[in-house]
Amino acid sequence: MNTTDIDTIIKKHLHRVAPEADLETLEPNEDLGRALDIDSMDFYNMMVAISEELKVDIPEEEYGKLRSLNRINQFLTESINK
Amino acid sequence: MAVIDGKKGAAKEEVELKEVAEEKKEIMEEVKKKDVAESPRPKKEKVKENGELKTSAEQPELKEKEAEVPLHRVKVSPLARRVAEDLNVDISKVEGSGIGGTIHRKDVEAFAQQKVADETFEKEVEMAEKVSTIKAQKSMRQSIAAAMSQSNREIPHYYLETEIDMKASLEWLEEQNKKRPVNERLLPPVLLIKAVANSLTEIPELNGFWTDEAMHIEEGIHVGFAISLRQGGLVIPAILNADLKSLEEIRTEFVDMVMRAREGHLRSRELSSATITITSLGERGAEKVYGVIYPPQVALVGFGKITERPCAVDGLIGIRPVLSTVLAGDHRATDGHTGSRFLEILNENLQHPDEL
Repeated sequence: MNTTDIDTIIKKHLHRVAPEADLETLEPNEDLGRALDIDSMDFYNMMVAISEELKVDIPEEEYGKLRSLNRINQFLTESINK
Repeated sequence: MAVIDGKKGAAKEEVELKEVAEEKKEIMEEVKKKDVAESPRPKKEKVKENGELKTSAEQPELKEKEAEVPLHRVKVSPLARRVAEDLNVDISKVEGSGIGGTIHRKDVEAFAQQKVADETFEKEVEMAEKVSTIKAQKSMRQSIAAAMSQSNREIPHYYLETEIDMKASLEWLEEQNKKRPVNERLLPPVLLIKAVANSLTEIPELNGFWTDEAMHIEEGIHVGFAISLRQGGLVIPAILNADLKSLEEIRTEFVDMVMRAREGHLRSRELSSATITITSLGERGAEKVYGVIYPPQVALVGFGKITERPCAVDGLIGIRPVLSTVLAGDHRATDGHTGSRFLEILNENLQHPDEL
């Protein structure tokens, strides 16, 4: 699984919590909460769904750092290839 | 009470319209499935050609393959081809009724007609969905407007504010969550709901309704939690008897409630039974919230964003995660003294999360 696949999966779950958001214009380093008006519950639900799909454990202390597409992608790529 | 009724009505209307939309969707899917199931004639021949036996479950896959068959292999009558061009029909998608699957004019025309019908149906479903959302949004705005106007008109609010040191609570949560899988994590709101409920067992004066010029303390502690919706507005479903439930029970209910709130699938009982309301801003945005009480309730607890701040701890300055907590009380029902005691107990409860 490469970073493009992972991006697609992240965007799929982003679309679930923020269906009306235009993910095409989302900058890879933008803060997701601010850009898409996602609150902590949305974010949590998204992380649960992603971790279930990719079978990756996302420790709670990482949540604070996983704020942009790039950060999440980087973390997931590293976890999968570990 | 009229407010709550209005809200119920709006929720019901929304549910009904959604059902209509969903029903239509289901019918459409059924129709599509039927299409696939009822048109196996040319496919059967294909199967025979390949000398393979396929089960009916594999048919959808087969259909896809069939669409890839290059045009020149499908027999099409010249008239059918011309009609297809006129009607803007992709001939490779048409199934022929003639010998060996030959496509005739009537096949093309039938296909075009079906296409128009499908499109109209799809548009109708889309419209029904849109109308239901707009209507629901409008009536939600109206019920919020009515409730908040009544509150400001009738309830003499008093506000009390305190800062709660969340270090113990957050550390305890982190400790708990290390043992839990991602989808079972305890989130701060769960702790806040439980802490408020437990505090109310000691200060029941804040739990209940102001009706007929008198305070009616409720026995059951049903903690409403304001959930903002992406399309605008908010709903306040309640965790019933939160003081009697374990953190785990509250967690399960809370996560489920938030999901259903966002999808618009809350039960009317959940929306109308809160005896007190919590509004929590979460991790983004403002640090404090001075709430407006939801009548006929008599109190609202507003939690801000947890921020790290320098605090005096044991005679030293330390950095602590601090949660601004503002209690809005109905001055007809209680006085500041009661509210102040409540905040004191709430603070105390959050210093001992393991006892919640």
